[in-house]
Amino acid sequence: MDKHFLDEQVEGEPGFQKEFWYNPYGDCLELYTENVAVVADRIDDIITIYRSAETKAPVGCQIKGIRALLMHLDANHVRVEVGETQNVVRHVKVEFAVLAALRNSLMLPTAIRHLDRYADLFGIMGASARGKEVAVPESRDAGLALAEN
Amino acid sequence: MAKDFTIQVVDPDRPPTSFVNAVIPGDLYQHYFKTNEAKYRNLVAADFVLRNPTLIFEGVREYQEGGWCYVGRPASYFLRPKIEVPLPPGFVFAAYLNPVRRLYEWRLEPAESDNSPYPKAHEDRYKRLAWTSIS
Repeated sequence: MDKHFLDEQVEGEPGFQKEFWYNPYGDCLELYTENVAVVADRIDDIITIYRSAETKAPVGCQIKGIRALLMHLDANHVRVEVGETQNVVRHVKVEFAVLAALRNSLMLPTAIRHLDRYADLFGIMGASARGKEVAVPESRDAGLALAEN
Repeated sequence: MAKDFTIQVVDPDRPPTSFVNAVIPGDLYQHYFKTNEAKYRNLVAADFVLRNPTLIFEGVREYQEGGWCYVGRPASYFLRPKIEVPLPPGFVFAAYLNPVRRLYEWRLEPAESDNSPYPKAHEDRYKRLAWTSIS
């Protein structure tokens, strides 16, 4: 196996964790349940199911546009605090973020075609979503103009 | 904490001979190294596609203005962290840059057909095709 061009940069040991993570650069929630390459099975602009490139079984999901979703949740679902660099950080329970995404996805006219994929989504999430909270910093760069780079 | 890593990618405004900087955020690749090594290993395929795309799409997300999707066919990818396999027919590899040219996603996608370089449903997913190497 050739050396990876980032192997000199990373710290610690490689591994795998089956847990939701907020990707600030893509403004999305992600979950991987297997340490395997994935093929995107896109439902719509909101939800993508990750399928194993080996078996085609569902092994993860991506929930997109999280910042916009949070605007539709209220104080019972989103806890707001000021971060280390004075940035606003919203903390949201994964269950609420996923349910809000599902509501938007199910309102699309194409939703009825994707019921089997929604079922896959529930199967993938399982205990990974229950009680889990993720931090969503407001000021990361996903939505900034290129001129600011 | 791992440092941001700058790579050269084909400039979507002046392809294919002009290149422009893009960034692999340090916390992003460190995160995948620790939590999803298969994805970390496939940064090699993403880097290849960003330098050698067959298609560049612009406007990738309903909630996010701008951004690019680079699509190509690397010879191989990591199925699992230590298992490198050829990219099979019927699939393409996609790498996504956000509006400030930070890499945020890379993965296999189904192609329109076995020999197509286009990802499935590309007409509905992107604002426009910015460039193609296909004549």
